[in-house]
Amino acid sequence: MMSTWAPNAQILDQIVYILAGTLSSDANVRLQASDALEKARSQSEFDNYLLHILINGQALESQVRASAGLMLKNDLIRNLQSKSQDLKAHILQEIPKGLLDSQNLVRNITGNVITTLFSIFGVRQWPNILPNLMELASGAAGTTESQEGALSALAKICEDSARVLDREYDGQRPLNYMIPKFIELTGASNSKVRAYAIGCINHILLTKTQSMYIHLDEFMARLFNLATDDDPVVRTKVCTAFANILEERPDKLLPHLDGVINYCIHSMGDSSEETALEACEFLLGLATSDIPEPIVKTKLPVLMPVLLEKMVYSEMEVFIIENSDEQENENVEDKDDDIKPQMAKGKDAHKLSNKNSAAAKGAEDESDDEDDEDDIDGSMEWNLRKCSAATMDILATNFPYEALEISLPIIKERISSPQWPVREASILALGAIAEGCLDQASPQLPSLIPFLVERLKDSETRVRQITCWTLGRYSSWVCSEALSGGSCANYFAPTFQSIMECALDTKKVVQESACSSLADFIDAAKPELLTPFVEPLLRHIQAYFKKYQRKNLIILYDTVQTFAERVGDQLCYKPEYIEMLLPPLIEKWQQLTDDDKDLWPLLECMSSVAAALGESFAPYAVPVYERAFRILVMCVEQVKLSTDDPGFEAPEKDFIVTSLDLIDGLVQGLNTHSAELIQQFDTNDVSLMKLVILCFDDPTDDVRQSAYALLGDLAIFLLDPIVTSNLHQVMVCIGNEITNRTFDSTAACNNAVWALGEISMRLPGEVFKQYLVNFMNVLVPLLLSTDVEQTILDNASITIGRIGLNNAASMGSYVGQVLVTWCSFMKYLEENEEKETSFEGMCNIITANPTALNPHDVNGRLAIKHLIDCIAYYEAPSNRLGGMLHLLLTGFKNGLGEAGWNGLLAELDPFVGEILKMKYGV
Amino acid sequence: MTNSDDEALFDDIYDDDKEEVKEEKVEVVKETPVEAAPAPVAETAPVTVPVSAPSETAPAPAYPVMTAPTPSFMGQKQFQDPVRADIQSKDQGKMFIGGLNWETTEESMKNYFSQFGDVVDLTIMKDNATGRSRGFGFLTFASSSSVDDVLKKTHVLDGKLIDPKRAIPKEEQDKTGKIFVGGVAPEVTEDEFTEYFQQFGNIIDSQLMLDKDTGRSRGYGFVTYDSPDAVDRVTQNKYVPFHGKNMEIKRAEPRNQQKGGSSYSNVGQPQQSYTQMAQMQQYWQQMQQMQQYWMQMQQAQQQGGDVSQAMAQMMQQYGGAVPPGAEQPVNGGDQKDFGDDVPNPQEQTSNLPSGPRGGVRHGGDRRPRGPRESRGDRGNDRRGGGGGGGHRGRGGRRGYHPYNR
Repeated sequence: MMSTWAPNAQILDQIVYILAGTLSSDANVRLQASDALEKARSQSEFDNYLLHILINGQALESQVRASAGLMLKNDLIRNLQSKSQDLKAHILQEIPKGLLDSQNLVRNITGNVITTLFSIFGVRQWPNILPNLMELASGAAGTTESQEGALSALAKICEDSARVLDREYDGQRPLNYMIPKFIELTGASNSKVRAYAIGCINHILLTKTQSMYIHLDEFMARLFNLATDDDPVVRTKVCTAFANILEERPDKLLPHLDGVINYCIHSMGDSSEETALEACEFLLGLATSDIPEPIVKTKLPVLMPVLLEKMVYSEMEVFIIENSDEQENENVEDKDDDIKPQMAKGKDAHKLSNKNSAAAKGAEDESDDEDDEDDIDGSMEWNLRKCSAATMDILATNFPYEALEISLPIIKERISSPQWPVREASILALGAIAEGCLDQASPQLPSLIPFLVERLKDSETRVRQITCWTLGRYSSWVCSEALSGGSCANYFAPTFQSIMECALDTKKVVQESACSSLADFIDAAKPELLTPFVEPLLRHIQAYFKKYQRKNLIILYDTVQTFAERVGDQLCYKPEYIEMLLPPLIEKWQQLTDDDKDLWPLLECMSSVAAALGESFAPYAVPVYERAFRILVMCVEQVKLSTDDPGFEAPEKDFIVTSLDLIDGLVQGLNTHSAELIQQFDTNDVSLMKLVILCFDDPTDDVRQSAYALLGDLAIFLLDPIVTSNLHQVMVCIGNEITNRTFDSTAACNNAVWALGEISMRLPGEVFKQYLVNFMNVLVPLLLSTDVEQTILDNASITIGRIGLNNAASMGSYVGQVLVTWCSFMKYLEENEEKETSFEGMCNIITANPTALNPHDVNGRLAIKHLIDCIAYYEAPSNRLGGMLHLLLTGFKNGLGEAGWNGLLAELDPFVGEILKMKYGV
Repeated sequence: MTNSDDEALFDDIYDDDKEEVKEEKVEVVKETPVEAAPAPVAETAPVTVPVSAPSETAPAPAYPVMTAPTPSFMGQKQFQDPVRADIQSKDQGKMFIGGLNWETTEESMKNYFSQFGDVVDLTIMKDNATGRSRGFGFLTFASSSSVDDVLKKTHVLDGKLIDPKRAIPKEEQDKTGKIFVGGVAPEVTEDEFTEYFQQFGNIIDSQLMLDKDTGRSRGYGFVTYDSPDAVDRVTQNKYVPFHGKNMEIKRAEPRNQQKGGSSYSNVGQPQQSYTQMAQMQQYWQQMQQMQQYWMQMQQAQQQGGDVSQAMAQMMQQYGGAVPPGAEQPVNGGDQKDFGDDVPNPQEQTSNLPSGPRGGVRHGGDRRPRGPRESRGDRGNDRRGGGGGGGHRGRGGRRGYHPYNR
């Protein structure tokens, strides 16, 4: 039996020595130690030693013991199957003892290991652990320290596995004895215990379990007592508790809501920053909740001034900022740490759902998954100022009138303060309410905007920074004034000009903000408005390229991309413009190696520029395409290798995505001429089309999304030279993409459906016909689904219509199934070429299959009505389509006879008849 | 418009004397059509005043000021045209006759309609190649009262129920002015809509499309003025801000063949070039078959006859219902009747409009839509994805934001 196992003293010493070595500050020592470790792992009783060191190694350094514990944990995660039953049982039995250790670190790590083991074994295979932990937690056994340790472990278990606790095991549900105990412990004399106890319940609340709700009233009564607890950690957890209850059972909170809101508003002034932040999180949750507006409205006069106050940088923040701003001049190179990793989106999403656990860092152990970066000025972490601003933003959207009425006087008073943090915060506030209050604020803007433009020259860095952003938030107003010839039409020029100049600021943070704001203006303005600025903008962009460090270059690529998308066509055929824009881009392009992640935003930027410039990009196209193709080849190759050999590291998928996008941009820009480009680099073994087909099978949604987008453009311009030789594979892939769609693959599926439509328009009818039935078998159910995103439904409608362009005769049997739904989507689509071609196809289908619609059949009649309605709402079809619609409607009318026709019209909107009469003479 | 001197504009931001634009509504005096003499406009009609520059104070209004300042109204004192009396035109007696029996000739048609008055002109539209009737035509009475008489009753000619309509003569079309308005803000009511457009001219008719269920505006409508001048005035600006959104204004009936609400009822008249296109002929023929199928179905039903039998006959005649997957070009055999080689529209891919690319697909839209999308005035664009319409829709830019989580 394991319990009789005793370590060999020598081996024990060796392993201890090795572990100590892995923690050495000397890199060489660490290297040797980890080699030795690999060998040691092969020892059959290695885990026993690790366990022993952790649990029984009181004489040893706690770091070593902790290290042993972590190693044990990881080993179990990876190699569970290979462990013997005996060993497992032994570990499970011994590990709780670590909670009794005198060393804090050992207790913590033990808790960690326990949590992991629990997630592996669960209640069934480890029935003792929960009672064991609860016993320690209640203080009935062990020490204060073990109480804390057990609670720490329980908190983690509640966080990770609360649902597991909510099930019946041999007639007993763990939560049923745990929850009352936790509630009791919220009254403990030890503040840490109180804090843990609340924390456990907070996690349980999120599971929405009935087991909790039967105790909710009791818990809430406790909370009101604990609200004024001495310990800030406890107060923080109380705020979290209120926030969770608000989310899960607002009805329970409603009778007390007024008091809770008051409490949280008050707690925003708490001496503990974390408590203040958590209190604000409650208010943010309140702003986004469904709590009836009148209730919230009454609190606004008290709440908003507090939010405005807390948006001011704290003293500590000011100190740090002033220090770093002094140093961070434009010529200081960016460190790697300054730059957020590119694909931050995934991480943010994850953080969001765990916000309640991540926020209160006090009593709980830090999550070791955090990618903490050295954040020079703390600008990247969530804090009270940001939370207040976010809350203000949402409140302004929901209560624009009150938001403006309450905050404007305060803002106006403070906006000229001699203290820069006060000035800065009021400008931030102005920007925060911009989207919600745009209408209400309009009367103020004629005076405020010029004032803000002046502040772009403020002596304080942060004031300039925030002003850029706030002006960007009002860009839609400035631009629409200019477009409509309003009284402030001439604000646009000086504002835009000033921001352009501000982007040349000596401080990097100002550059960043100004450059972003510039993109906002470019987006909001119509191209006509920007025309006079194209040249100055290009000159400035040249200057930005010379000036900016890495981080701001990335912002610049985005801005240039926006510029290309909006006014890029004004650069066509103007060599003097192109020579301002492209050389710096190419220069950066050449400086980066193929495996540099900074390439991604640059590739995306190039993609838009290439698409916008079209032929004018041709001189640069060859090297650009060559490199994009090369990267694509390399990455696809690497992906293949890594799937075969797990040791081989796969490349970042963004390389594939951005190079596909770039090639797509080139194809869009050069149209049919890109055939030569592509064929120049295709070989018998490796061709673009074949690579794209491989990408259709990539597990990453983003890759497939870009691949299908490229396919669509290849179909439009290069169907015969590039696509048709691989048609069958392409069709199979499209079919699979649609069939196997998931919630996450929406964009890829969307693009696949779109590409199919483009293909069907250009492929000869007999060729497409072979696939028609199969595709309709997936498209029809897709069109009729209720759980599909609207954009896919729109594209499916368009594609189904388009199939009728070349294969109308074969589509007859589907008319009855799809026409009503088809019409319901088509009706609201923008009137462009896609709608036009789809309509034309559908007209073809109907006239090629005259028996498909029977007006004397209930369903047929309904379908016809929908179609007529849809036609009436089509404001401006082309003359060609209009002619076809006229004939179709005339045919309907004649076929039904005057009475039948009028009867049909009577069942529709009265406008329909009017419009049809006016436009089509029916 | 205000002066273009930027300094002057910005200097006045602390000017307390600056008055904001008054928000009074324009009073439009609707004048009833009387005798030919134009109403004395100068006395009774309200006048528009240009929006004062911020440095001036608005004069004590003897005249109401407009709600939405638009520079095009600078200096204009009247915007109401002299009222027109009864519209006189030689085309007042023109009619469009649809639903004709294929057998009906011009002679039989003239004979029939002469009972209502003198017929000065009559045409039945025919298929150029075969000479067969297309089932509709035009006729012109000497007097417009004949048209009224015709419209009072139903008509059967050669055994068929026919459909006569007053044809709005082209001159008449030019006389009224219709505009389409898009991008209307959802909370705008019909009254507000009408009131707003009254400032440009006398409105004959105005409609704001409403959603039946919610009663809110669908986002667009149309307005009919009694004069094309009014249309010219209102269409001077393509975009007009109203209730926080930019409304887009388009002419509904173009002088020249512009897009935007043009009438397609001219199809079939000889001057239209595409009637000469063989494609349209083919299309027309298919259409007729469908039409006949429906008519026969109706007859069968009306006679209480066996619908299924009629259907079976139909199927036979037209080659049967199209079973899934099978290819049965319905009028495959009939192509030869046209004589000339009719290019199969199904093979003419080159004629497809190539137009601007749609923004449907998400080329580079790698990021899911964030809370602050790129703004853009894409009124009716219901496409998903970030910033549709462009080559590349990107939901979230990497730009600076002070409080993004």
